[in-house]
Amino acid sequence: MRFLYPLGFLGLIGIPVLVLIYIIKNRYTEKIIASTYIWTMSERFLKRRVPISKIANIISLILQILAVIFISFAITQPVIVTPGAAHSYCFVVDASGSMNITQNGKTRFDIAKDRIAEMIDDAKNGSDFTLICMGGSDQMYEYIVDKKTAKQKLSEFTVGYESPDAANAIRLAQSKFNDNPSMLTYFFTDKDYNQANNVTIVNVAKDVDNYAIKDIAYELLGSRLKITGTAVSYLGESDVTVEVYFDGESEAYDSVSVTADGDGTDFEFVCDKASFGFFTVALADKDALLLDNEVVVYDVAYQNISDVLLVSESPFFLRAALASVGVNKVEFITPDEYEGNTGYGLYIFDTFMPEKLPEDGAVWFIDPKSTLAGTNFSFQGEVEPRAAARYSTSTETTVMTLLDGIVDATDKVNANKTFSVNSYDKCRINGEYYELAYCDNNPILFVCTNTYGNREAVFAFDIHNAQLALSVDLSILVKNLINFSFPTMITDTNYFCGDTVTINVIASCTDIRIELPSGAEDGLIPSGTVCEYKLPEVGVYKFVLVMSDKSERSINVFASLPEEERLPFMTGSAFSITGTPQNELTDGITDTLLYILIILAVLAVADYGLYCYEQYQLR
Amino acid sequence: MGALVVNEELLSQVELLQMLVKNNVAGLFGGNHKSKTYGSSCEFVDYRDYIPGDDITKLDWNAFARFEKLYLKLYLDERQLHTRIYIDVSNSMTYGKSGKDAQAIRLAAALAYLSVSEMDKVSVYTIRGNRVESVIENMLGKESYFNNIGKLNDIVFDGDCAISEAILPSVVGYGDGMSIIISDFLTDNDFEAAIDHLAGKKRDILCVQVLSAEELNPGVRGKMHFFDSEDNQKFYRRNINKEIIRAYKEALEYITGRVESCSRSRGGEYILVSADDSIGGVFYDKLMGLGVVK
Repeated sequence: MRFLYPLGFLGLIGIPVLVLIYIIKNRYTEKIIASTYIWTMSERFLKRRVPISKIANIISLILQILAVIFISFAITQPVIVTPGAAHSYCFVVDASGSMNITQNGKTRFDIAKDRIAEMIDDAKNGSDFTLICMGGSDQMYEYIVDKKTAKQKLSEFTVGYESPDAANAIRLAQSKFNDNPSMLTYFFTDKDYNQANNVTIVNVAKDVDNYAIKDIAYELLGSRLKITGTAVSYLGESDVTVEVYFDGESEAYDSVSVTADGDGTDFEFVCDKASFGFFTVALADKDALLLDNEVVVYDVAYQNISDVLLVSESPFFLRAALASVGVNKVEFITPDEYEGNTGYGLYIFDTFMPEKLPEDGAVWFIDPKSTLAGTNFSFQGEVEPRAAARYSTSTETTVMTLLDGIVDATDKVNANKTFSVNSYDKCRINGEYYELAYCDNNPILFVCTNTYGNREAVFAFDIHNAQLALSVDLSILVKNLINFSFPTMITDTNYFCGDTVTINVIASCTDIRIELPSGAEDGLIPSGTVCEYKLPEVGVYKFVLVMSDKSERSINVFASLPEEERLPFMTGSAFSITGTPQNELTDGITDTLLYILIILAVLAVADYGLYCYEQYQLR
Repeated sequence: MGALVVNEELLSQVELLQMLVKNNVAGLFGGNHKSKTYGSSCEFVDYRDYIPGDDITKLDWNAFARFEKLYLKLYLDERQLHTRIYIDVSNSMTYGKSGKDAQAIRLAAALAYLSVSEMDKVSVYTIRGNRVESVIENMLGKESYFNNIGKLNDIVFDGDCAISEAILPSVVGYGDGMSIIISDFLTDNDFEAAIDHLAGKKRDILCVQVLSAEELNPGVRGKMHFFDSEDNQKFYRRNINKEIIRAYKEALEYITGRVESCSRSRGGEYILVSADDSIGGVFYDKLMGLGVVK
């Protein structure tokens, strides 16, 4: 026998204390009475006393002393050591996406954990347990002897959504086996492994129905939207219903019924939608794995364009031009209503100069007529043109991109595309800029970057009094400038779990907050022009870009379950541990705590019984 | 004792008791103590034939004239009785919340009043140790009663008490009334000898055992160490529980039964009085019930 906490014997100090209390408590109350005659006489009439009542007090003391001894004993946690009776276990549990499949109301992962917990319970005390969770990032707890701790650590394991590589888990299990070749290794998974040396594979998979949708794509056909995809049934042919929802509407917009099989059956929706924020394609039928029954598709362009604030007395031309290029998130106010508003991706100031340059978005100035701190230009007066305005002849990539659709390469070389202006603002430009049009050798249409790192476009003339406003060039120019103003933050909105999202960070972004599908939050600190984030869960992610002025912009993406994890049955590659197993058992431990507690309970009951007997006698 | 026991209140109670008693009875201990023998009182009872030697002054000459035969007129004999009251003044009488000592004095005062009301002589004695001490001697008539009864307040309860050793050598009278012993009788001493002695002297006997409420129904429980008030060497140490209390009550029954049987077997009477009992209650419920007061 050995004691886990020998200091528990300090509890025996309680015995002399108990005896002292007994002595103090058992003092007789002295009293003078008229005569002891009757009391003395009463002894003659006393029945033969029950032996227990004569020693009731001392029995109570004995019971209490025994209780103190056993309590001290319990604190020391005595254990009986049985040589060579316990094993060393290594449990590896598969936390891949397919372990989310439910069987009889429980996920495969929970079933695996329950089986491991049972094995831990059944193991001989003294055994040690090493737990390895094979997920996106492997976790390991090693050589846990306490069963309760082992089960608690096991409960901390969570199932993932990815297709993890088993190599790392094998390496961890191998290292433990190398340390102790007698270790018994179990791998709980839902896959078949043909090769599994020195490992006992416990397959928790059963026959289940699983349907999925995949390969969702869309195409805008004028004012119509065509959605295509594939429905799959992994357990044979089955009739399934596919539904499509727009922008989170609770009612399905449209549905189709298809007979899906293992190879997949294509389906198609054609909807009367010229634009959308996002749509959802989902299976109406419930199955064992819900994670692959739904795909959410966000419009990439929509995600990249932020809200526009247009400050103008006569916004007709600009609104028309913005609408023509699909920019619909436009808020219009007059200069009098402008109070330094924030939270927009683009600010357009038409013939109006604010008192302060917005910090959180791109800015367009139209006919500025004054100088504003933070911009890259200074106003030097209004000038009557001597000649027509001409588009730039520069071959610089940015200029060519911005003038794409207005002038062709020949025009640029020959500089023969012109438009007339009634007057223009002579501007002096500081730093780097790209000139798109000029008049009398003065730039009248140029782009640059302002003090806050945001993009800036300047129309140094009144477009309402220029030929440009009436030509198709304005729409093309606006479209190109919109693309310039809103640099593409993401190039795709649909990923697989485990993929990495790349975000092009705009200049004024100081922080990125990520809301995960599970509701958890994560974050990124932008350190360059690009941030990357690996998607650990299935579902919709919201990336919230926090700007320097604390305004926010959000981007949504969707991550699907990897296709290989949708299969109810799979055959994994080898899960083998090399080496020659041995059979050296460790010492088993029999915990006596339960027995001590039972004895304590008996002592307590006996003591209470004695107390009740005394109280009955003293009535 | 704190306040005076024999006080205005007690006397008014006793007076009231006397009035109530008059309505129902002829008096204490057999009324006006008319003797069972014929005597020389003025009260005519009967005739009988003349026997030579009889007092010729009691011949009924009128009857002789009519019947020519001598008849002797018989008159009831009338004697004055002497009630002797003995009070145990040992230390044990002072214990108890309501006070056995006070109750003893109240009883003595009340019994004395009833006696003097019947024109009997009354003497009150204390039994202190092995001696009988006189407190009031030959009290006769109510005036004398009211002049003397206050002396009972001066009685000091102390020491021990040996009833037989005290009474046996004292003057107890012969066939002339009742001897009343008021005590708690919580003693090993042989009080039976005193009762035998009084019975031998043809005295009517009344034993009044006064016990406190605590003695009649002890409420103590738990570990107790009792000391005897009269003898420090005597003690009783026990964890008082239900079993002990049961034995105590049996012992109490035995002790009271012993006094009662001793008294009754000698033609006497016995009453057990609690120190809490009212005087009226004692007389109505106990003395009248026994026929001691008719």
